[in-house]
Amino acid sequence: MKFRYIKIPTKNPKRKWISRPMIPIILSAQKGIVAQSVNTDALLDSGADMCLFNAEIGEVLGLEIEKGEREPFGGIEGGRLFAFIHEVDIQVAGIDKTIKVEAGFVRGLNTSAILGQEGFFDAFRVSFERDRNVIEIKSI
Amino acid sequence: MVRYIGLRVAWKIGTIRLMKKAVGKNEIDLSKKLKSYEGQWVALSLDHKRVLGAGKTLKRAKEEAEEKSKQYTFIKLPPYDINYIPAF
Repeated sequence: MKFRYIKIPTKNPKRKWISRPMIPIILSAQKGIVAQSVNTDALLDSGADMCLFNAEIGEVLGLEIEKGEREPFGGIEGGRLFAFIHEVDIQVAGIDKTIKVEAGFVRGLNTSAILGQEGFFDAFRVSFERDRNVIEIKSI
Repeated sequence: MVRYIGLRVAWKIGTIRLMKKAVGKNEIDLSKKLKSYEGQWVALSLDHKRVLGAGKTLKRAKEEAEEKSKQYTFIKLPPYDINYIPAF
């Protein structure tokens, strides 16, 4: 399945937009016998160890965010933040495969969703074709 | 013969240029559509062509979108003055 990069605005007059490898996913979580789901565009981040989601998405899914296991995450600037781990299902729009992933939910995340190595990149073959502005996702 | 080869090369270069031009337009361009939604949650139609709702919270964007459609996808827009790197 092929997806197109998404152009997001920037304030830099020299670069009025930036193209990001984002793909549409359906995130769902089971709450009792009911499964709640949310559609969102997720950033493919091969540098991220795990999948991270904005806590607001988790709340729409009916998750009690702070009841998840608290796990530290760090970035290149040396800072640290805490994510709460919950099990969720991820389906890439247009691909008939759902993966169960232990993902972190973070308050104040500047994006809606980040798809990282554990759980996502080990379940799909991801090809970035930046020159053509295309991302290809294949189920492994 | 030389003319034939020349025409073939010119045709090939032209085709490659056209292909490059076509794929260059491959992105989903939200740069104008989302310009006024910096830092907000935006609910978009599944084809990304229409903004159905927006707000400082996901809940607000969802409420607005549900008045217009039952199908939508969310995007949380970062501040536009930052470049993304895998850090927080």
